[in-house]
Amino acid sequence: MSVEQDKAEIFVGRLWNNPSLSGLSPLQKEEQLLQFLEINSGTLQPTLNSPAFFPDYSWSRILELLKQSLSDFANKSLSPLYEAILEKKMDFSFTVHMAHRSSSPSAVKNQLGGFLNTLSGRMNSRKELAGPLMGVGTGMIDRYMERIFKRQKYISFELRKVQRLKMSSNEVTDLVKATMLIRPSVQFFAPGGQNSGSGRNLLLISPTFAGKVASEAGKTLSFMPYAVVKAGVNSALSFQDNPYMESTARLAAVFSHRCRNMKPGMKVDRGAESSDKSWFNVARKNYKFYGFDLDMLMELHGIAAENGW
Amino acid sequence: MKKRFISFLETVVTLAIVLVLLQTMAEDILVLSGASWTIRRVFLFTGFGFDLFFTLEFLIRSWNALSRRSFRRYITRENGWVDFAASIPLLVFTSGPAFFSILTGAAFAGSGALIGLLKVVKAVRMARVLRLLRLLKIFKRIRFADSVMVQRHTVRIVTTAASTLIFSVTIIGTVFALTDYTGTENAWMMDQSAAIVSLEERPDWAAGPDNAEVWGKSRPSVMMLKDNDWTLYARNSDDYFAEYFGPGDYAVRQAGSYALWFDLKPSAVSQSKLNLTVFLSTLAVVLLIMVTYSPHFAITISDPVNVMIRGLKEKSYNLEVSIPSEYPDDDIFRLGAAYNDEYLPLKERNNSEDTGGGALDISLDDISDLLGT
Repeated sequence: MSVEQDKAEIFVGRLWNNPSLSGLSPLQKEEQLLQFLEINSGTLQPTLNSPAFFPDYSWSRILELLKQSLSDFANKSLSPLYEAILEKKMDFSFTVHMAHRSSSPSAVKNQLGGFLNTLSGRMNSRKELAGPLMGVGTGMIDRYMERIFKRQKYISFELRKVQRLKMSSNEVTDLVKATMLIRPSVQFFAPGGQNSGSGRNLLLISPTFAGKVASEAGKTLSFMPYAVVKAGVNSALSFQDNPYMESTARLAAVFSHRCRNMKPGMKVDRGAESSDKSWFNVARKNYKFYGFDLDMLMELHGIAAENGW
Repeated sequence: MKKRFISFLETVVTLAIVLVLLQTMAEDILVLSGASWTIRRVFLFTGFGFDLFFTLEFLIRSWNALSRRSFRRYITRENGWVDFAASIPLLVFTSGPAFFSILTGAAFAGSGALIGLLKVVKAVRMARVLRLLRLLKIFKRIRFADSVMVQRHTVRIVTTAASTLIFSVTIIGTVFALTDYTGTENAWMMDQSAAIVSLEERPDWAAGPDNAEVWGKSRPSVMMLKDNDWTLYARNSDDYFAEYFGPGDYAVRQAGSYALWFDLKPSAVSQSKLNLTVFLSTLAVVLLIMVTYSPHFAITISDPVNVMIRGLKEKSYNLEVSIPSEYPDDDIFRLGAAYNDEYLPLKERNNSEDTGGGALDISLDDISDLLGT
């Protein structure tokens, strides 16, 4: 490792461990710091061009060094995170209840682990992984799914009666988690997937494009039941335009959006609503924009309100 | 260094306010409990010391304000009027005269009408209620709320309520004291007047110790009767008078060749009862406002405002204003509802379209040590 890389690592390390970013997931930290470096380039450039840092380097070269170092920091945290999520937060026994390509749950898990590494190799899909990882890693999906099945209302009905998921509640929960983790494949296969971040996010896709992405993702995730891969990709469709999309896809869309910028342990100010309740209420107002299922949002908002989440 | 010195002085003043409030209460409790003059004298001296201290404080603050050409602001907006009302009038009308009467050993005496004299005595005592204004001085120094707005509004309400109570009692009490006697003191005062009149009309009723004894016992307000320095009657021993009576506790009046010592303590006791009542009532008003109104103000005004300010200033802040079911029609919550239903959704859509940053938890200030700024 060169002296410059050492310096970049020290600088990024200080940013990475800054207390203001505590509680964020590695991908959230990475995204924030990438934006931070880009936004504040005018202020950072003179300091980083000083003799103490990189006196003979151009700003673009410095930025490249810092981004590489930042990516290394995130990757160091990501691998154990994937492992922890797949080993401790999920169970793939739901696959045995679905039509699939005769493989064991552990094979599905290993293949998904590799797929997550592939997704995190491209910037846009890597960014999209932030929400699913946060949702699965923090146990938020488990909390909500437990309440959903306890209530036996709209979402439960959609999962059990409409999508006809004949499996235990825990297995449905794991199915939703897997759907969420597959969802970033849309960004992975989208044109311009290597873009570094600025520019408009890809919010919704067309059914034709979804079909193509599902087909490609299905090839990579050959052990995963195709219905799960398809639901993961379909989660980027608009529910208003595609009223027959899977309820797991609709849930995955809502939860992924919710968790993308979620800050666990966020202090709720006096006079403010709780974090989840606020988010679901705002999402209710924007449901058409994001293509969410309004009835699902209503129920999730109710759950958040009942439990003070 | 200068700031530290000013901070030290402010701490001393705050401590003095706490002590003077305790001293004021203790002074009245001692009067009610019939404590000895020696103890009460200590409290009268300390009362004078505190009044002098607060007068000096007011003069220094006024001088400072004058030198900054902000005297009017100090008096009107910074509660300088409280500093004034709780210092100079007390020193001039209450503790100053009491202090000098102790030094000179003078009792209330004069050649005018006794009732007139007693009215003045009572009006002077009434002014002591103004000391309770110092409760406001300490209240405005205590930071009890996170929000500056809550603090200012609560201080304003407490100041208005408590000062209205204190001034009303002082002014109305003084007017009553100077115009007429009412209530329990009336009989006592009438007895004193009747004693003088009876001796002026029938001096022989107190001629000789035996007659004087009979006459004196029939007049509860008379504590001593002398004829040309010869004690004809004394309700208690000289030692008792020395221990329990000080200047201001009695009045001396002439009736022919007789000198009559009247007991003024019932008036002081009555005044102390009133003082304590006003003090405790004021304290109750202040505490009640702090305990009930401050949180109410915070919940219904400042908290929703602060949530909206954060939402407007911070791109990543997306918490809604909590709207209590009891007050949905309050202006502030109608604004909060518009913020929740219109602004936040718009902001969220804007954020999702714009990944150019801004919704960041880290700022340049967080890495100032790294940048050496």
